[in-house]
Amino acid sequence: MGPLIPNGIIDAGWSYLVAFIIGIAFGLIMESSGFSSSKKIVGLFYGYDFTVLRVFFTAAFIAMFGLLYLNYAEILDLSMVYFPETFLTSAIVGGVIMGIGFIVGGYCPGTGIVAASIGKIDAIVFLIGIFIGIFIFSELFPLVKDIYFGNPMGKSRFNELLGLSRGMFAFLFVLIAVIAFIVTRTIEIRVNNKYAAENHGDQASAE
Amino acid sequence: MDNKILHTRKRYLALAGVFLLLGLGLVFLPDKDNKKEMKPEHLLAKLVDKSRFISTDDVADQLINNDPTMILIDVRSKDEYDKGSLPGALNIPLSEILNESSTQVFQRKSYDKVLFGNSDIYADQAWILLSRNLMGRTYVMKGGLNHWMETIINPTEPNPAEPIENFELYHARVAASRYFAGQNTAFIYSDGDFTNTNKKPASSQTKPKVSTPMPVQHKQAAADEGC
Repeated sequence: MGPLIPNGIIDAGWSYLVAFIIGIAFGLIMESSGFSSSKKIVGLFYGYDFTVLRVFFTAAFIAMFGLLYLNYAEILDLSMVYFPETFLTSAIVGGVIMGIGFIVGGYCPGTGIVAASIGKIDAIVFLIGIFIGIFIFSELFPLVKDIYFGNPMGKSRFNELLGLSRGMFAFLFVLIAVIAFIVTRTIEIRVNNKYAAENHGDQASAE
Repeated sequence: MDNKILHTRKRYLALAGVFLLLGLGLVFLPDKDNKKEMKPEHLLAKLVDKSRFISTDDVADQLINNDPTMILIDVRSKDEYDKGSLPGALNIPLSEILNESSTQVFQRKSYDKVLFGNSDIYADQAWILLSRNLMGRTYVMKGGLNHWMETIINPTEPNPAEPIENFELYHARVAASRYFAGQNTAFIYSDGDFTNTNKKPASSQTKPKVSTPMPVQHKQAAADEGC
């Protein structure tokens, strides 16, 4: 049956409306998860809040379970689900640039839009920055073209690179994530206790 | 307070347990090999439908108008292609139609791929192979190059008793013929199937515009990816 649009069950003309509805739901859930706060997002890098990691890992699980089980039940044809090709160099370079922007700006593009939509000034400035970045990239594209298309790997899947079955990779992914949940929770508690102790100390000395 | 933390911890543990169980389930799920092939009954139904055929007049019209959405694909052998083909046509012989490099051309969803050979037999075979492998928007030029020669390059004048539409079509074809003769690319010199309108021997002049192999199209990255 699925995917609905490539199989013509929903006409391609509706795709923008579908994207709009999913986008609103996505933004709503991000906002209610607290992703409109840059403090919450960058907590990941300072160790006091790992909500981002938990939410995104959980989202990845749900999508992964959904895709694999629905594919097995023949409700969805996984081979028709589109995903972009891998260009290793640009993935690494882009990842580094995005990571820096993430720490400095306090948002990633999606959360930046969520925060801007509820009127946060820093997010609005962040969005303007994104557009300036897009403009510069577009103008300089001929110069960075080699990096952009460097090390093309085609449509590659991680489990295929590792020589694992899809299911085994999924299970390992869940296992690693659960371990990451436990470890990050421990870090979170420790860092927060440390902050609390320091603040308490400050307050005591101020008095 | 401690109770609340304990409760939250329990919920987290339960959730982690559910995830692990679902993940474990996937390990025992056999990898499903999705067949990217059209079901035979669908293919049969599609075969009966003649809408895959596109007339030589339509192809000529699109060529003259430089329709950017059309890709012409010559399914004859390389030797035949080198002797002459339609302007801008790519050469993908029937035997190579499902090669990886060919597939990249056929997977371009936003283009109409028009197949042709000397007649429409090989092109139709190519069409069946491609349709079975779910390569969309492929068409067959009706009658192939033989028909192209008869209708576009050397159109026959209609009988005076024929309806006016036939004359209009004839005039359009004559104009198209002049256009292609002027381009000197619409061929054609060959060993027998076709007559050379310009009566020129096979030379570089009679060759079509050489189409370089199309670069792999890099689809736009999904915009809704990541966070």
